[in-house]
Amino acid sequence: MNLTMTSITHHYDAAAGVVSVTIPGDILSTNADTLRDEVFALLETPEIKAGVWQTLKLDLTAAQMVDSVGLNLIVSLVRAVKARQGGVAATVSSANIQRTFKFTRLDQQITVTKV
Amino acid sequence: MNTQLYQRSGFEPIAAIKSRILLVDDEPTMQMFMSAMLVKQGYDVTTAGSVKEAQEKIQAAGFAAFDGVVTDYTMPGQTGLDLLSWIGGHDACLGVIIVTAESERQIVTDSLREGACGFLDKPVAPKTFHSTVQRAVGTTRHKRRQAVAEASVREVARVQQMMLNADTDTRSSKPEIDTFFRPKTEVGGDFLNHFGIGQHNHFVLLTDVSGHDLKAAFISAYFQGIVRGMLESQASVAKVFEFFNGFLLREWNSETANSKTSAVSASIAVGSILLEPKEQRATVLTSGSPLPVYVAPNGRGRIVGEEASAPLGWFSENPVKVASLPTDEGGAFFMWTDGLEAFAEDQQISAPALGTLLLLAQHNLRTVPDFSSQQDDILVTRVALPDAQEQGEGFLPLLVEEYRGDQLKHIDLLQVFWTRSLLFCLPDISPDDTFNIILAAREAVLNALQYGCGGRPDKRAQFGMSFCPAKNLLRLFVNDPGPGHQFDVQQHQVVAASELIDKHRGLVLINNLANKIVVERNGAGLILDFILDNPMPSLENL
Repeated sequence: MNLTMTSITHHYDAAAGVVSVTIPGDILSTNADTLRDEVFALLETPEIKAGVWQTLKLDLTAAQMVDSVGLNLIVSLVRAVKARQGGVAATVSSANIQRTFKFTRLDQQITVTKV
Repeated sequence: MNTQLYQRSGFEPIAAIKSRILLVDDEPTMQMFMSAMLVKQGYDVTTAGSVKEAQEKIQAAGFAAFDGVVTDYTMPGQTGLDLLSWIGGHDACLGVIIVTAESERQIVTDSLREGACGFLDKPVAPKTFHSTVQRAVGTTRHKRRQAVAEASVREVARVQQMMLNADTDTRSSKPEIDTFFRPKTEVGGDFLNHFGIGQHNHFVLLTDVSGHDLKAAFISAYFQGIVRGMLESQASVAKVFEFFNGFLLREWNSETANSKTSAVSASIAVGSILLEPKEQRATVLTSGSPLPVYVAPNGRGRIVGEEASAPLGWFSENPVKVASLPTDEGGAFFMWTDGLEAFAEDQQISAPALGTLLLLAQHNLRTVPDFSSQQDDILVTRVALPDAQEQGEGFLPLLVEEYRGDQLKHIDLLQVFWTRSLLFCLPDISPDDTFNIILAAREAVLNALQYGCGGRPDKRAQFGMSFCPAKNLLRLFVNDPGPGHQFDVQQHQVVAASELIDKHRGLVLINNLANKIVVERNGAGLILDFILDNPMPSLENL
């Protein structure tokens, strides 16, 4: 388990139209609300809200586990980004997390890359 | 009485008998001089003029006949160091003093390294000679007392292990009993006894006497003897325990008892199972011991009994707790002493997982853990009901837990605990299997606490994990008091993904993580099976 209380970090590449968010560890029922608040607060910052971007990149390489509440957070992000005609891409390092996306069929909604 | 043996047993005070010294020197004058000094100081002296002669005299009289040896270093043929080495190889207790000349200082170092308990310079001063010999005799006697005590303890330990594994019931239909016992020291106060009662019944008694030493072992044996005698005289188990509680309070632990017996002071935690095959019933009686776990043939574990109680010998109120359950299904009971729980807590794992590991280790199927932090005697036993192997699949418990609804917020800590317990007991399990099991457990318990218990502190969910070595199968059980929720997971998981629904994703996860799912009571009960990738060692012996 890699349950860290460190906040998310982000990078906005306006030219490429990509908002990159790095999640510092697992996304679980016990920290999903905090992460949700942080990510949505980020998307509401004037620069990003007003910006023209199409892709939200989630760096999940520090995560060893994403539970159902964590998946629901990702689902809500997909919804929010789709609402602005964008898409979500996730980078994972854990084959098990990649498998989790696959059998919940979230891999049909987001692009998942394993590094 | 064999006086000679008594006198040489090492228990008599030094002043009571003459200590016998073997004096070895090839120079007659020196030998005579030192012999006279020793006799004057009250020693019984035997002399030898060479190492060979000394060896012959020791062999003739026996090592125990001497309390010390004073030997010159330089002698024709073999030296005093050779004699020291020879004695050390036969009797490490016998104190040897080497007498050296001024020019032989290096010999002192060598002789001390070889185990000499003293040395003397020539010319020998009477005062130094006296004190050095006296010290050697004292050392010999101390070491011999210690050796006798250690041998006694080892013998008690041997007998205790032998009695622990004794199976005196010759009937064909009887429980199969596996036991792991590791006292904190050589012997301990934990003990297991099992025997037939009457024509059909069987009794298993696990005791834990306060302390973990010879006294505890003795009291445990005394108690077990009384219990067996009373039960064979038709007394009921509850009455026997009640009797012993009163006996301890009245005769051993009472402040008003006479000084001889009040010094005994002992309490006894007992756990017992009375198996009555004709009635298809098991009655569990406990007093101060951890509550036993019953594992049904399908692997579902449950704690038997409602609450722990005080051990025998603490309070006059009857401390015995009784619980009964039917045994027509078969299955097995697991009992352990509080030493196992303390060690499990120290390792931050569950007691059943540790107990299972130790039972597997007993059959050399697992490595015994590092016991360096062991604080108490540890005893765990598995009592498989007659014909259990035919009826069931031989499940061993890893987790038998119950959580309040409001423990939802501690799910991360629970997950760490499950993971540690699982990996401690099954260290060969693959990372993928670990991930599947732990994530499925998390989802199932989250669901049970959040929806089944509504997050309320007065509602409880049960969580269990059992391992079936014969099938390489790990099984999870989750039950909550809620009504459950009927829906089609297969259909839902397609819609949930395409329409981005954020409900029931946990059940979708579980459905894909486990090899097999049995849904009970509309989902308020789940049984999840995981066939492990890595085959575990063969369990033919279990």
